[in-house]
Amino acid sequence: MVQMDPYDVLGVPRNASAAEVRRAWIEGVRRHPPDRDPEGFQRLREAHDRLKDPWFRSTERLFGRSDLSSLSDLAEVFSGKRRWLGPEPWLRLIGRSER
Amino acid sequence: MARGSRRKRKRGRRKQPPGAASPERSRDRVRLLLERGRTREAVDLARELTKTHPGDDSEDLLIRARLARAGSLADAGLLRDALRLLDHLEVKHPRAREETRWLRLAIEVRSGRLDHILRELAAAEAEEDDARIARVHDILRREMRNPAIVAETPLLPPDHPLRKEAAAAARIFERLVSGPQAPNEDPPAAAVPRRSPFAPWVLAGRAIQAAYRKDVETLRRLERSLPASSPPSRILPLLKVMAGLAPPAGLDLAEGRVFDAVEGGRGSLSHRLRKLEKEIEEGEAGAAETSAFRLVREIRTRDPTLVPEFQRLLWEAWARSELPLEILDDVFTDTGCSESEMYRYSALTLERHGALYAALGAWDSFLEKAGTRLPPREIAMVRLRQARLAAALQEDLGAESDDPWEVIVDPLLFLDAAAEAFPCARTFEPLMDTLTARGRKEAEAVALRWHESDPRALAPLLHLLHSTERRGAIRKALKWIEKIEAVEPCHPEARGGRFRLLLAGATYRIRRAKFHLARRDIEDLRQTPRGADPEFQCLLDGLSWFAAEGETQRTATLRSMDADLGEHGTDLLLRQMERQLGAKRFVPRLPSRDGRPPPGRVIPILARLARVFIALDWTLFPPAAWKKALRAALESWTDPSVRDLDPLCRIMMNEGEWDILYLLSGKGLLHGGAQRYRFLFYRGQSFVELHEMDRRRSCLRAAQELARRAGDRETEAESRDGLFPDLPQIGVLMDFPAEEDETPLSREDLAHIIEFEANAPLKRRRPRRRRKKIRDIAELFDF
Repeated sequence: MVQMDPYDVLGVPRNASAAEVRRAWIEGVRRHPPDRDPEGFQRLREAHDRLKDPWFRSTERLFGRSDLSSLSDLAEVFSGKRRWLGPEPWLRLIGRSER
Repeated sequence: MARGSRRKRKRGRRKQPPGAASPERSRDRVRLLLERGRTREAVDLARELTKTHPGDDSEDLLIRARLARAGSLADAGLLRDALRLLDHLEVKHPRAREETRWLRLAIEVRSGRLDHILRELAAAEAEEDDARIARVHDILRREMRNPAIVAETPLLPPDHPLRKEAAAAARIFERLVSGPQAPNEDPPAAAVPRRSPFAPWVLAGRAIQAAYRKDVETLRRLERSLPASSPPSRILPLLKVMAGLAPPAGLDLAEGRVFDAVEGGRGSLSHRLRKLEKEIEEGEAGAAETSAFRLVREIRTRDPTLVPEFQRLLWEAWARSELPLEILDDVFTDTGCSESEMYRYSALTLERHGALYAALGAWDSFLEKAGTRLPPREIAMVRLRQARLAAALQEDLGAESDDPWEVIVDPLLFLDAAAEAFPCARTFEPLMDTLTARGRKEAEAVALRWHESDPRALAPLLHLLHSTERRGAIRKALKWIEKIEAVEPCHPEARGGRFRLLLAGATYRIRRAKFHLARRDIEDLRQTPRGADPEFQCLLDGLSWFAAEGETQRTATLRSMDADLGEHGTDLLLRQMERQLGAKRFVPRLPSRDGRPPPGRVIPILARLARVFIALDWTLFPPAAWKKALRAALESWTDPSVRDLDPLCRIMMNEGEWDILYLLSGKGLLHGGAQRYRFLFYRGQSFVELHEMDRRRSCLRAAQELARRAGDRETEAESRDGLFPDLPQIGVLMDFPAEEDETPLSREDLAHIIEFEANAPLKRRRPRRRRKKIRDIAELFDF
């Protein structure tokens, strides 16, 4: 089971710099202000606290991610990263002949 | 045989001349075929029917069959064939021209040709023919595959409402499928009215957003709103899979491709990773190497940060199946994996397999190979991990403590190396904890190292304060307090610690007759916040009296104490302090004064001294005459306060004066307010006779529960300890249930206990005393 990934919560890549993490945090707080969405804000804050900590990143780098214990788990990592395809594939799907 | 005969029967049925059946049955059959979508057979049969039974009915049926056939050809994507059939239909059946024309328009729209339909729309609008306009809109709703085509067509003027609606719908759809929108931030769709032929596109865009968010409720709502005949509704099966409402197995090839693209190619990647796992498990080294080689490249293209994870997991799986690790060299070197990284993978694999000692070695090799490329923080992290492994190894070795390995794998070595590599709280803390747990003197030296590397860290300063205080190095401890205050001016440990240390210093010096030094300590004590508190003036005056320079100063101090406590109170305080200071050798002789308790001032004096002594963790031993006077004064005490009652209860409990404690707790229960639970605790403690054990129990249980609710951990613990006293035979005799068998007290139970004890008579009920007989005691035992 893949745990809540702080990178996904903040929407930053794993190699994001400290400045990028901070920008994502500020943007996230704008979207989930603590008074209107306390749960979302709490999630964001936990994710930001973890990514801010250089030991967290070094732990992952040195000892591997705790949520990955077998090769097939690796595919699960991609599930949290859905891609936005733009209109083309959807229009192709809508415009094709009947199923 | 059976198959052949079935085919024969089928062929026979098809070739059966329609004339063989009645025309009505043939027409029913044509209608049935049309209903079932078997249009080609329907056309064949209808054509035969027109030959055998010509007439309007048969022709109507043939027209209907051919229109349906054209529709099904268009559905299958054979648009040209469909249009050719419509041409034929127009020639053969001129009366079907109107129907044919509309169907032709629909097929043209489907193929992206808009000229005819828009001309039709223009004509209908010119004639204000609403029915025709509605029909055009209906065709656009059912057949339009992309609103952008209408938005960009030059056949409509730019300000035509339909063109504007199409442009807005195309814009909204594009925005909704190109990136995440916050749940309540959907783009405004006012430009596309609900009745517009392009409204389904806006709904489809929102449904896609909901599916990405896995917002099942919104997706279901939009599914209900989306017309099933509109092309955008075709994506609903895929959206349900994306939202987790349906399994991916139900998707066709095209939908599966889009799903895979949305999921970042997860489907194919998952399949290939599983295949690789299987190949490794089955020991197919060659095939696994090829798969791994391809996968590492693919993962590198998708997300390079995941390559080390892939390599780690591959190494582990490979080692688990005992495949030769040399084969992996190519896979790893291709990605620029260094030798040190391979040691890292190896160490992690060994850890997972429980080979802790080998893992320690692998980590050492990793550090050696990585050398200076590894930042100090990461060196420290590896050392900390090694310390954990070493601790686990030490635990495993357990009984074999004389094993020579134990010296090698002492976690302290790794902890020390970690602190050396990266001195910070995370490395020093475990080192100091381990040293302290082992009672090693080096803890102080380590704390000093920590303090030197980070002068603002409080933990080493506090450790140094406590350790120097334990050693009795009071002056040194005071210096540490100054350093703590420099970091955090109001640190409670420093504030309380300064008073405690100066007091310890003063009493130590009085005991050793170093009165001039003691006087300096007393002056310092007066500068502390607690020393400035009028409550503690009597204590400092008392110390000054013991450390006075001459008789004149002593008399002046005594006068000041008398003014504060009165003659009787001063006498009591000095005697108690003399007892506390211990060595009488150097202590001046106490003045000969009236030591009897002053009537009317017993309670305030005793309560104040009790407060001071409790705060200093000293013990007050009130003389019997004072206790007797206190008991007498309690009966007429009309305005008791928690501030006085609590220390008096504590002192009487320490003295074992149960009757006085009973009376005091009764006052507290009546006047204690929010602190009543503390007096319930004292009331419980006042019951020590065997016949009072039930009351003791109920009071202490209630006190424990109320203290827990009030967050008073100390009283909670004291009540729990009182419940299970160090007299197990009492519990056995009274048949007390075990702690875990207790039913929790309800709010009503608690209120009842408080009310009962608060209103209990001031005089305790005592059983009639009689001489105990052996027979009575024997009755207590069940034999």
